[in-house]
Amino acid sequence: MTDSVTDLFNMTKPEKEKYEDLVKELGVLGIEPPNICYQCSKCTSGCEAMKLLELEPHSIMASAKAGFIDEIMQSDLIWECIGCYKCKERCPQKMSPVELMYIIKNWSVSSGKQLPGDYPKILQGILSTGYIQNPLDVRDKKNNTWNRNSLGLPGLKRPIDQKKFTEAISKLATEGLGEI
Amino acid sequence: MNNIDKDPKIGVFLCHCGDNIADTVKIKELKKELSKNKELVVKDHLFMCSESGQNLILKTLTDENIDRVVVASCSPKHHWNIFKNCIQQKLNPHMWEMANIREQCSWVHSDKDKATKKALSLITGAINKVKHHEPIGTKEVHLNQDVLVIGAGIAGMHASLELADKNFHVYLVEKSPSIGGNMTKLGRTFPTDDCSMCTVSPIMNEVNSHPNIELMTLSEVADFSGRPGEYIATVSTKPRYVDPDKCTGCGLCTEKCPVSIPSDYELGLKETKAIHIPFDSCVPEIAVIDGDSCLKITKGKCGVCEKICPADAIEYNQKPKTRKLKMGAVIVATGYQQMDLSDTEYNYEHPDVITGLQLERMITPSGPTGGKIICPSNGQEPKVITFIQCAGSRDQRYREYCSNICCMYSVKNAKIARSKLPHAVINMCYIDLRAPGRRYEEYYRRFREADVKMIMGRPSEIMEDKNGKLYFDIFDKSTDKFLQIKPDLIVLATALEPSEGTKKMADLLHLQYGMDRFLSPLHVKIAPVDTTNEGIYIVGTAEAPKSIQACITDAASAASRTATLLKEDKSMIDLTTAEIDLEKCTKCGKCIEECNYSAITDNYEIIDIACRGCGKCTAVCPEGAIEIRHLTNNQLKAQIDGILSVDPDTIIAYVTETCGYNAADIAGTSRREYSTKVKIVKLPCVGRLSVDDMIYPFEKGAKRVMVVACPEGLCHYIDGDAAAKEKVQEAKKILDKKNIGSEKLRFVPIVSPDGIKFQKICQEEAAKIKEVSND
Amino acid sequence: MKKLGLYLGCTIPTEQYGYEMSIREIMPEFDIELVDLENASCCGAPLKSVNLIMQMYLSARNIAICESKGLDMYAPCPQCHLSLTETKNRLRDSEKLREKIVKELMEYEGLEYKGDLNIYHTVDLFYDKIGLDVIKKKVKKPLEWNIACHYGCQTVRYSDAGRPDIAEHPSKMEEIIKVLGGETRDYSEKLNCCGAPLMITHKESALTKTGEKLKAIQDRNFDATAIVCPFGGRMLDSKQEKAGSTIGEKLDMPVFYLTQLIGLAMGKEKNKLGINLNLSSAKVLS
Repeated sequence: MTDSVTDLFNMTKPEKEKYEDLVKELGVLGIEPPNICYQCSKCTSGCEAMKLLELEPHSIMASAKAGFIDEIMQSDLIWECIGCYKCKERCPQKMSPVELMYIIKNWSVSSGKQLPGDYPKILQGILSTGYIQNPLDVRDKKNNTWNRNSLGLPGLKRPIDQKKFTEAISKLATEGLGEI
Repeated sequence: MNNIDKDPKIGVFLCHCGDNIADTVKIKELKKELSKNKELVVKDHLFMCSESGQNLILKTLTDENIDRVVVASCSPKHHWNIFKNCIQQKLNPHMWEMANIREQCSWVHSDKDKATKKALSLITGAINKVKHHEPIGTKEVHLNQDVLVIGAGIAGMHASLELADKNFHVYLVEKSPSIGGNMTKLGRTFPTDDCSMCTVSPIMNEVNSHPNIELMTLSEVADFSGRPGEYIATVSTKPRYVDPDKCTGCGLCTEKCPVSIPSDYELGLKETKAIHIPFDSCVPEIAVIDGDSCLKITKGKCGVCEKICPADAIEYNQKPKTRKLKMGAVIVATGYQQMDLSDTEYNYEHPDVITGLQLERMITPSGPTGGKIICPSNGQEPKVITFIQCAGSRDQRYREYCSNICCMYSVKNAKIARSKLPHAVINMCYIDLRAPGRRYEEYYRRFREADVKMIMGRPSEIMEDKNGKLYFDIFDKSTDKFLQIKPDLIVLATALEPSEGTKKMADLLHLQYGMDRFLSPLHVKIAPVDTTNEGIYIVGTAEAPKSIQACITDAASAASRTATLLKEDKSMIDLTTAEIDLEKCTKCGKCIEECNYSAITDNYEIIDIACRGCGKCTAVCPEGAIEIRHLTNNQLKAQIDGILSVDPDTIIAYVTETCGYNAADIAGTSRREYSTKVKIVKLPCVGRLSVDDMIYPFEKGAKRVMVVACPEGLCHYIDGDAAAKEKVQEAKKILDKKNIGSEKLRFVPIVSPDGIKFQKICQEEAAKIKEVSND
Repeated sequence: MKKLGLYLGCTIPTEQYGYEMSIREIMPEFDIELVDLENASCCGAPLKSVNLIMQMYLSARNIAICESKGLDMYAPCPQCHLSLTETKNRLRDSEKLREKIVKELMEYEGLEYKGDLNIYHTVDLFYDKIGLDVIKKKVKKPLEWNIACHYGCQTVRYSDAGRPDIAEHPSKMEEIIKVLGGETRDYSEKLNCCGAPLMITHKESALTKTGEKLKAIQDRNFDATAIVCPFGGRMLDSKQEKAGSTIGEKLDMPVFYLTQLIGLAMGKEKNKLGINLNLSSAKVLS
């Protein structure tokens, strides 16, 4: 992986440093470098997101192996991963496309990408209340409304010092596995 | 002759080697210095290896009272045999030593004074060592010239025939009621597409009728002991319940038997009866009763077969038998089985998902489906067949290795399926297609002509819809399409694994095996059928998945090796082996555990014919009770003493006589200079070194010590390098405790031709001494 | 009386009340006292895509909280259970990672992390810890329906982390259903995902997956479906109607939490088990 390789369609070159960082961060999670993947496409064949949304985990692995990581960071496809872990479970070489994508999603967030879908709401919820959402009022089949109180359930336990909690989470939002 | 001194002397012979040695090492000075020692008789010659040089040695040995010799000359790799043949005319062939003062002295140093001093220290080391030499004799061991072959598949049968043709008596032991192995289950074989049974049948018949082969079917090796040349195997034979001399193989009994049982041979595709002929053209073609399902044997009922047998061959009263056999060598040919894919994502539980071997049974004309490919669930011919490769192989979760033959046999079967079902849709899901043998690629091309759709991908799971119909999704990397396939029949190229027999024999015969439980050869490239156990050979798929052709090659090779070992009924072996002083021995068992060659019995006796003389046992004995005769503790210490008494400013380099010594010699021939401080001590294996041996040189004044091992995985005695590496760590701790400094001991692997690295490490070590002395 | 720290995560105590109610109702019968964990928070699982360190911190803090009470943990949500378990494993295997997280936990929140406790989920708590024999003895009203088991992706994957059941042919839920008197069998789509995590970014695709799963179960003539995951509940139960309209099929599949089924078999009152909150049909109960 050096300057000697060029992708003629996009006029880009493999990113050696990013690749090495990726290998390092996968190592922190106990996962071997993506070089070991032998491109059998079993992950894609079983991918729950592939069936509807065209996410191809084997293709992500191939691009990562070859060092074309920026491409993956910019892609929206990686946000389609459901996290069903079928790829990691069934990979004959113990690779983990799901976790490789988590790392790259982390990188794209920390380099300024806007969180898609409901993520901003979820993150805000956790930061300010400790949970993704506040206890909801639910309806039953007869259209009656219920909540924790009316169901006789104890109050929701939250972080005791919400301020310290928020501080801790906010600080960690700026850190990555690369620093481990 | 005129020597009035009664004590014998040591003959020291210094070679000038023209000016190769003499140019740098001052031979005359050496001679003068050495002659001061009245224990020595010192001679020099221009070319000691020449005829006149040899004559000088002989004359000196004749004229003087000399009982041991040191020859200081070139590397032993050149003329060891010449000097040995000369010296042994007068002395025991082990009563001498060589000092390498050419490749490892004159050729790698330029300062004449220093080189001469080093030569003196090396020679003194050799002299000190040889003082402790004892005459090592030979021993005649009796060899039983019979051979045991375990397993009568293609490899076992071929090995038996080769040996039988060489007039060896062969015991061929087979677990099943018929010989032939897995090859009898196949339809056709690649790359010739000939009928498997047609190929193997004549071999089976030859085995059965060969006068030198004693065939024992329904038999297994139950116990095993002994030593190379005299092994003892206890073979237990299950009762057949049929008299082999009377049975004609007519099959009437099978027709009438009321009990149906699953058939191992038909792999679940068809049942057989409690009494049955194993298969068409089996050998011996004799019926057999399964004692666990026969009504007469288990409950005393029925007895139909006995009543109707026209030859009166049924014998319900047969009992199991045991026999003790003696043999000089054993060939293990116990073969493979297919992996069990139950409880995996391949949905093997569905009746229409079958293995490669099961398909072989279907395509065989005499098979359970009469040669037709059918879906087991409904007996119909499939309209869509899918082959799925690497099912269980190349998979870290199941079997890490590639099963070698699946690509080729699936290609073959797909071609056959196309010819039997011209209108079927046939596809194959693969990752790579491996066709490495002779004519294999051409075979693969003929397969592509057969209109089989190749899908480059792997399914994640095999599903079935609510009607039980199979389907799966697969991403095809060749077309970049996400496909859904709905096959009627799925054939899984199932991973091959060692058979139960292979696993059992590994334990019983103390054979080495890999993590995958296949048996390990002594050396994967240059000794592929030998094992660490002298006289036990492994052939065929017991060693690894392989083609029929490779099995035959293995078998012929093992037969040849056996014939070499057992060419006579006796063998003279050099006793350059281990010896135990039973008075010192505390029977702690460490040596037995450490020995890779099973050369020490539980009674602490050495099996000389099995011992390879590596010395690993010496290194672990806490009492010094076990020694190897050609490098005892006294000899080694004396050599170190000798070297250091002349020059304590020394780096002792313990090297293996294979890789390390060779690297040093190559540094010599390429004239790569290094410090004279380095003095080389040759060992059969660094595994010989105890922790003590590593520290001893420091106690005698050495500045640094190197342990130069063979590269990891290439140790010629399996794991001597690993044993030494561990001990180096222990020794380092002790050196720290003694305030000598752990960094003065170094463990370094080196490959045989790497003279450059040898020079480099010597220079590194020498530089470190300079650093310290500059403080 | 065994005490367990009850860690509910986010979705159960804010939405899937039926799961929580049935758990609180039946546990005392099995001699288990559930202790609510003060100071608890989200386990971080929804944030894996955002920041893995954040996720591991959140899981680790909840482990530390439970440990401080000297209790083992019961995490009925498989997403939480996986996040907690894998965090525990990673902190055990990587010294540097452990150092970092332990330091942050102490500095910011004064929490001490050891990572020594056991973490249970409904499936292994009932099958392995409580045991089929004990459950069987409590059955007063055998269920007598044909029930499909939906384990959920994170209950059985990924095996290397140690999950409540095996990945390819899990059978613990089926065994429990059988001792409750129900009939059950394996079916090919058992391990298919319900689509819940896709709701964050691709709502229609998520509902399509839900619909397809329910349709497959329905087509195989099951009377009801058992679940052990609040996301399974959200999709297969609460959003069943929407899923049906997304895929253009009529879906009418009663969905119950396993703990609700256990409660029913023990003769507990429906409303105490939160069954009135299940939006899917309750036709089997009549």
